[in-house]
Amino acid sequence: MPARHRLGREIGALLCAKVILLGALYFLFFGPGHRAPHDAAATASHVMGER
Amino acid sequence: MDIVELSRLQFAATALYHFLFVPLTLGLSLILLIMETVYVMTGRAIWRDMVKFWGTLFGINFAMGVATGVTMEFQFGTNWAYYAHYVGDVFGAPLAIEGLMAFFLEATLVGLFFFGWNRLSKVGHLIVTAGVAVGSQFSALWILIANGWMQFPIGAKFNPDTMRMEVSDFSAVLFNPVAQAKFVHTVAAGYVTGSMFVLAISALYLLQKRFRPLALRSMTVAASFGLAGALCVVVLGDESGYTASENQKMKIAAIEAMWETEPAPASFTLVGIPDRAGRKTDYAVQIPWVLGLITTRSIDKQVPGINDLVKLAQLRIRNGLIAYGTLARLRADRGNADLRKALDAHVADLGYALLLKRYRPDIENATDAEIARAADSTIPNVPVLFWAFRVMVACGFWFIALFGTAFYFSATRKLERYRLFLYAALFSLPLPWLAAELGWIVAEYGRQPWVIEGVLPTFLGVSGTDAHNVLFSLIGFVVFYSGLAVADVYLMVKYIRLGPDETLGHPVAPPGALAEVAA
Repeated sequence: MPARHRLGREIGALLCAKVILLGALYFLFFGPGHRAPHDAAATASHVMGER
Repeated sequence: MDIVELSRLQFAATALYHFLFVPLTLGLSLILLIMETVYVMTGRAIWRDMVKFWGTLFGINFAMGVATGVTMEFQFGTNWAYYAHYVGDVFGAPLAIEGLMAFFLEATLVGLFFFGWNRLSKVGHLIVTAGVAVGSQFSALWILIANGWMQFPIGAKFNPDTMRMEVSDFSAVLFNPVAQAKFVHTVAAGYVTGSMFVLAISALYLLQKRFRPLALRSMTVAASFGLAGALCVVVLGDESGYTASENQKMKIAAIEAMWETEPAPASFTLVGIPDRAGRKTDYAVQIPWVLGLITTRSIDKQVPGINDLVKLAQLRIRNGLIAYGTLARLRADRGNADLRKALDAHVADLGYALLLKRYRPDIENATDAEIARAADSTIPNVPVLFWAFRVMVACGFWFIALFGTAFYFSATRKLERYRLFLYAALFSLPLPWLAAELGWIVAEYGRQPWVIEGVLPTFLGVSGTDAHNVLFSLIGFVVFYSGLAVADVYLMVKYIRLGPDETLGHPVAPPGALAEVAA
């Protein structure tokens, strides 16, 4: 196999692995389900004890 | 450990680890630029090989710096969400620009630096190397503008409707005197680090009698650049201290373990044993006038002591309570112009009132004892700051002596004559990193209990997440960073041992180079 094709396949495989890893990180730790609201109301509640 | 301590520990661990790589990038990028400029001007191949060899070590360090820097930016969102909301309008812009500078500009140019040798003209490649160096400095500038604002929050105003600080004068944020002083001090420290790296490894090669032409030329560059950097780092450190004395008086008092206000000009405590419980410094060796002259640049201005600053903090807490009560009423009656006016009159001390949140949620009912405790909490860890500062300064003066000696030996062509000097250069290798880390401890640990000086206490900035999450990611960082450390040390040692000939695949000293160096 020409070196150029092999390099292309290796880069492609690495990019796929990277996308899978980043996707897993997002869904495991950063997805909407993991986010707590930190807006003006939440900050007022946190700092001022507003309900 | 609670979530506040865990979040602080995680940020401190990642920041201190990241800062192992930053100063070397700052310094080595400019050293590469100097070496390549000589190559372009003289056409001598050895200078190109020097750029390629030191550039290999720069590349290893740069990759580590980027990898370890990314995680900190995420932490603002994951661990410091209230902080991100409260000050994100101000802090976010310079941080975002820093990210763009670091990732897009620097990464692109670093790629061109490594892969452009045979594709770009000499001058074209030199411009790329200059871009790498300038990009690194700009990256540092933006992050230090963000950090400088944490130390001296100007150009922003609290908005009671959005419950956050908002930019009122971006030029004030940009030209914050604390940020400017920190920037020049930090990059100068980077120049010393880069110079020491080149000086120490060149000294090793000379001790081993290997790669003499490259080592001698590299040492000459490192000696002159390092001497300029070492002189700058001390002078600009003094400027950084002066700006801190204007707006972070408690930090200065803690660094000096100065419990009581002395008549002007205050004396400087050279060494001593600070006693936090007894609020005194045992066995203090003092030099009259020096502290007053350094911090106020006058002989008649007082440097306030810790005890007086605590009393001032009590007053500010009481004033802040007025702001807090007014804010609570304004939140319930948003259109009330009188309340807005009243809030504006006291809002500068709102952060001081928030210190009471550590002791009770309904802070308007705080007792005198709780106010006194909150005021006491404004004292940072005095012994740590006292010694961290002194070791950092001692390192700074050692750098001037070492680089001054190296510069003299270089000018008189005696770099190889004294083995003691070569050993001193070699064993001084870790010192710039030690000084840089201690500098950050003084700057950031000395800012406690504030995440934004006088505006937001650190404990109020953390996210409302579970402590186990922070502990889990902290363990993850420790494991991951330990692996990176092993890889970094392995690669650095590997290429330093291999030396330039094997790293580049050809001998770097062309025929006649030895004679040329000796001449």
